[in-house]
Amino acid sequence: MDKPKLIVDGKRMDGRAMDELRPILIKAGVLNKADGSAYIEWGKNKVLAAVYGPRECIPKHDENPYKALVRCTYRMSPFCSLEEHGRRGPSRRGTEISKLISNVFDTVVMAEHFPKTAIDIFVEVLQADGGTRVAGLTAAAVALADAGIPMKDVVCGVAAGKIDGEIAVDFGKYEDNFGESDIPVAVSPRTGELLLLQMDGMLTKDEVMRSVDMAISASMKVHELQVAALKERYAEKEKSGALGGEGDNGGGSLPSDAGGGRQGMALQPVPGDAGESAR
Amino acid sequence: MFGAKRFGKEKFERAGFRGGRRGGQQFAPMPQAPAAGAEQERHGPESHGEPARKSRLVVPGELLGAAGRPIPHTFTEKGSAYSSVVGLFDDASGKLIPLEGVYTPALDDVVVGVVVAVRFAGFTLDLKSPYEGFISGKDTRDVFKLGEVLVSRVKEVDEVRNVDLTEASKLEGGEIIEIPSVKVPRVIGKNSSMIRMLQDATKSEIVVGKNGRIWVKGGNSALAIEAILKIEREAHTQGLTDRISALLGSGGQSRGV
Repeated sequence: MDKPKLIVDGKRMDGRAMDELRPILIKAGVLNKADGSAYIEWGKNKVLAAVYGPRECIPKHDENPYKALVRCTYRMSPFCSLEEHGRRGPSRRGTEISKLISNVFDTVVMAEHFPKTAIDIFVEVLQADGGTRVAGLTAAAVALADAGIPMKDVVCGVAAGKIDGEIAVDFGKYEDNFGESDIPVAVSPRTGELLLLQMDGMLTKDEVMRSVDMAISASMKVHELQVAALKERYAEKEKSGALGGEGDNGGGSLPSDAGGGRQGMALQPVPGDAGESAR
Repeated sequence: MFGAKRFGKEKFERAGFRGGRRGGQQFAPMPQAPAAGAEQERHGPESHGEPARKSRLVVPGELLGAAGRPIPHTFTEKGSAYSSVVGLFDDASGKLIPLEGVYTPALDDVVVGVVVAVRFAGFTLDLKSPYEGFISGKDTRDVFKLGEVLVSRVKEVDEVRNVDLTEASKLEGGEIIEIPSVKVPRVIGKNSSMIRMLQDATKSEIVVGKNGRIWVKGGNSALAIEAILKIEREAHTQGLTDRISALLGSGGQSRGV
């Protein structure tokens, strides 16, 4: 495929401004069997994150008597995009991303509370359109919070970089493939610390600084959506709980309904300024 | 700490907690009244009660205020206290009640476990936790079998979370339900009010393990279980006691189930 024009009349291919994110929807607690889970739709990306643990560390020789092991498995499903990811199973790229996501969470999870255990994070990319590592990381942070694992922050990430000579954030597939440079960044919104910084392509020092600054300010918006998703989960539970209580003669309180809090959730877009860029 | 403590000694005997074989005296399977009282002291009655009106939902990393005395489930950094979990924070009392999380064994907790291994020196119990419990053969005269359900008390937890249990006794018959351990305080209620209400209304024997396993036997156990699951679902809401009381009064929806 030939390189498309990435910027037309000052707007990007999908009509976004340079500092504008794609529409993001985050839902916490979507899986019944996982200790914590989250689903994120970030533009055309669709990513599921599940957290299990703290649980017994297997293999035993990996366990640490001082703290929990934070492990991540990032996987792209074989059907997640039209090209490149046609095979399932671990890949060079998947292994790299798994490692960097576990390293990011190793810095924020208070693993010393759970010696000898392992915390497993699974990131499953169901549909990919550029920026899946930061989308997966963002979802995994919500899933960890949903699992009740003590953390110093709900981390999030956004990629930034240069397309057609301009600095922009949150690249889609074509911007990612045909842009000059791409910098995925993960931050701790509470402290502003950088937890992940990678770079593809070439940039001047000044461009790197501008990209990173732009990614950090964009990730603050992502963080607001993460917090909203977590709070929404309990607000919803509270509402359904109160209803079940007042209508004691009605249904909804049968023992078989025990998991209802998790099952009865419909996907709804999380309100936020990023949502306005939907076309 | 757990429901059955209300039962007098004679009820335990009737329920088979004290086997005649043991003679019943030298072995106290359940913490007796003073121990149970101490248990409540330790956890504080307020953490067992309703979340206060003004509590707010916090997420990890959310600022709670200036750092004072250490609060569980928080951390301090540069003089400020932050939440480390999703929970309900009450600004007035300065308490943070987590909404999710696994059970971590703590000293004197009463737990309901399942025997997962029989060893030469004792029995290993699954505690619905990342950490298994161990009952030394020295601490029990009984011989337990794989898969048996026991109620037991945590005798010691060391720095690498090896958990020693004591005062084990078998729970025979009945049903087990599992709820998240963070919701156990609501099932017990302030000064055991909730569990007392459940027992009075259903006439069931109920043993609540701090690890989130609840054993129910006899009486209207279907109603007891329905009520406990309702408490679990609505643990973070207010006015729960009234709703449970109404449910128990109405006899529940699961009559005949």
